Amino acid sequence: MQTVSHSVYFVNFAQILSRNWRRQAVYYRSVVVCFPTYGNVMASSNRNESSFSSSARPGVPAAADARRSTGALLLFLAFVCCVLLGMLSIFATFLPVIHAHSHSSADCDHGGDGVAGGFWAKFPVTAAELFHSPALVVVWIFVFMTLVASLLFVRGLWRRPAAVAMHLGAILILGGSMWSSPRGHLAASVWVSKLPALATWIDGGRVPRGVMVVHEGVAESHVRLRDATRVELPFTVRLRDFRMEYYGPWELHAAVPVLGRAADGSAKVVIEDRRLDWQIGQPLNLPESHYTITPVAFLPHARLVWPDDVPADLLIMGPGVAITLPAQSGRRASFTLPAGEAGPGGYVNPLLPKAAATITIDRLINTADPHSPLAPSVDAEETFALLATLEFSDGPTRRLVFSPQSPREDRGVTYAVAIRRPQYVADPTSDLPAMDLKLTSPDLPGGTMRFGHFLDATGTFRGMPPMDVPMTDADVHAFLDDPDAPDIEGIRLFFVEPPVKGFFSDVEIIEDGQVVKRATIAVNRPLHHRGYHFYQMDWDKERHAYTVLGVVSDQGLWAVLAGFGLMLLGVFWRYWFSPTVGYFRRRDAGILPASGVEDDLASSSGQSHGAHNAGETPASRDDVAEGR
Amino acid sequence: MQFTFDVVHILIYVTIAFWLFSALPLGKWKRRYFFLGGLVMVAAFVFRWIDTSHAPLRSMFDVFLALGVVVAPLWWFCERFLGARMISHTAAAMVGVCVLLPAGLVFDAQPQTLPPALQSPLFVPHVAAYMLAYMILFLAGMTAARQLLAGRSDRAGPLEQLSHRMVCLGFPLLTLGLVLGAVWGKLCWGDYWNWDPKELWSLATWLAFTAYLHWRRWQGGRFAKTNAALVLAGVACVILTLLWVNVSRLFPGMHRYAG
Repeated sequence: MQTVSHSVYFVNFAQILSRNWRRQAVYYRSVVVCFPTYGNVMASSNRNESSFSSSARPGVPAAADARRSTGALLLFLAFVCCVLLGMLSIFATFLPVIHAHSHSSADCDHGGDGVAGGFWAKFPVTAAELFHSPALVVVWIFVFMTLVASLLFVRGLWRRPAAVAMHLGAILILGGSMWSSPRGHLAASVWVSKLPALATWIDGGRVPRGVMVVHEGVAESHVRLRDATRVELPFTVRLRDFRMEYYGPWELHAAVPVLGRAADGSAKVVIEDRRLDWQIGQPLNLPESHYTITPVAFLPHARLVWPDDVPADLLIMGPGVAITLPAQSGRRASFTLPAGEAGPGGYVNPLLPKAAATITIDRLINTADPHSPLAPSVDAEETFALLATLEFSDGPTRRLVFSPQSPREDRGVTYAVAIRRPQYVADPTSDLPAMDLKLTSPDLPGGTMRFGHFLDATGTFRGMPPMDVPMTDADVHAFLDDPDAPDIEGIRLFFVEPPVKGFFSDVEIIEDGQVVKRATIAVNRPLHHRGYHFYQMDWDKERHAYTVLGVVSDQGLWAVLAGFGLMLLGVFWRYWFSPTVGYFRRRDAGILPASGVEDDLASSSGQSHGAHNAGETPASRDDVAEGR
Repeated sequence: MQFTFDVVHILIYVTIAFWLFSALPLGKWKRRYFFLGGLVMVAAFVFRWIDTSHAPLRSMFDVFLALGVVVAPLWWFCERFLGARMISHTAAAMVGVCVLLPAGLVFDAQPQTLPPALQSPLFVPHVAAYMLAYMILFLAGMTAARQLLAGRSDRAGPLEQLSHRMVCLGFPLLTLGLVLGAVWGKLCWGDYWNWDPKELWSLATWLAFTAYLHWRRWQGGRFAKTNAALVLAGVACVILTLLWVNVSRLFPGMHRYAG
């Protein structure tokens, strides 16, 4: 039986493809198709509905048959379109995988790029490229024409407004998408350039998809497109403020070294990230150590400043000399060199005369970026240097660079740069926090020390020197000399930015010098103005000083949205609303039988299932059909 | 794969136990166990909602939990209005168990905050429409599979009709999910269609069921086995969309919130 059914299946296709419509139509007339029904008796009310036309009654003249066979052809074409597009969609998801694989295998096997994939090299790399390629344009037009043809030629469709709504919706969605695609934008601009009269309806200079970077307080009207060309908007966008919101406060984390196992089973140190639930004034134990930390103060918006705006001191030390010179350009100090000059082996000749020296600080240098001003930074130990002039009463004048890392010794005098400890001040414009911590341990001399923490703009976390420490200087220096200070028994503390809750750009639209609109753009809250949508895309991760807005014109959008609405309307009407209305209508008319269905099919095989078996199973219809 | 013992997980295990019991020959208690399991699932979902303080449709765990929640209500609807009483609820219970096992044993249940992109009034309708549609289509696929097992016996016809009704119930929700996703994409990313792998797979799913509906409109119940095969092909697309595209690292895309 099965083979017979399959042969019918293929013959059926063959008949359609050989345009043997008439024979098909005769065949179809005999097929009573099960209509989608809700409720147990709905099928019986739809007894006479055929697949594509409700006019399928015996005795219909041959002309009607031809029309119905057109419907059959279009249903077949619709089926083909769906299968084709579905397969292309699935194939498209594999394109990046295929390309990555073919490239890597080409590299391995042939060592050259020229052979890369061979066959696959001709294919587009991304799904978007595939669906915008010329070959697919043909497919899209085919799908579009099928939809249009079904609306034009299938009369059965027009008897169901819901079906019309669905298919009209699909047409609008496809047409609107074509019109809003990059090619559609190109076509619009070409048409407008050829026929300026069209500009009334079509704005030819619109942006299919672009990006706009706006700095705080700056008005911007240029949009950068994907191909790096710039388009000027007919108005300007000014960023008044950019804000961020977070879920909860900044998290305090500890990177704790613990003993773990490597892949080969040997022991190794693994750094575990532990989150510390902190509260001001609440001591908490550092994991895997004897230490207790107590947050003393927390500034959610903090800025780092140098004491007296001076980042460092130049310490001049030697026999009889102890000068602390604040590192400011123009500062100067005079001192007397120790008796005599140090010779080889540190020998000082006492007979040589004492010389006077004068040091003048010329310039402060940020070695990380010579062009940027010297800002308070916890990196100052590494990035700070100063240029000074040394004048001697008995010798040549020298210009020297001093930095914290390399103390200098010259004629018996040591010159060292000591970075001052920056302080935190509350600053509402900053989005970065600071915390003052007290560290307590029975192991520490004096039992307690205190230090602060600051998260700098790049998100790295640095420790600060102790603030008030009842320890000996040697202890403090031993602590500070640790390159990873303030590691505590190898534990590093750091802040973690809490998950971002939202980022907001307060913007205003300016036309002819007048502010015409003020709005806040956020994710999921775009701004629409004169045919353009503005989307919150990205932001300045370091200083929160600029925002990145996506700009998209709304060409074709309204057709697509209308199509969405029509399609939803049609689908729910057809599959939910109509059957429900039918159900209640029949219930009120008293046609609905008592629920005569069985609990389990297995227990009731061979029995009648109420309305279900009332001569309405497709199998019985097939019998009728084949019996003709 | 591991057992976790917090409230939600214990409720999941209890539900799995109930649903496994409901497959045993226990007379009228079979059905009661099935719907009791459904109630426990609702409790788990409500607890999860309170626990995460947003609608729990965020992670893969949430999604599978939601799929488990809708099994029993949807099966009740199918029994009441679509004539699904002709088959036993056992298969629905097994679908539920299959959905809850990964939620209970595999997926990470750590509550996550909603990133800005997910803070939208369309978040819940979009995901909920898909969860409902997927579960109805799973049930339809299961009915279609039963129909194939029934061969050419008397049961095949009603089963074919039942699976068609289930698809007709689920298809509008599938469309709704797709359209809401597109509208949301427009509001959030600026494009209603991004050619993202998950978008493409769910489009393929939608097209598979659209193809099925056209085919069935064309051929009716004549080729019952082909109809069943088409439903099962659509369900295969659903499973791949839900699992493979989300979990596999092959397809990087914008829908990778589940992580």
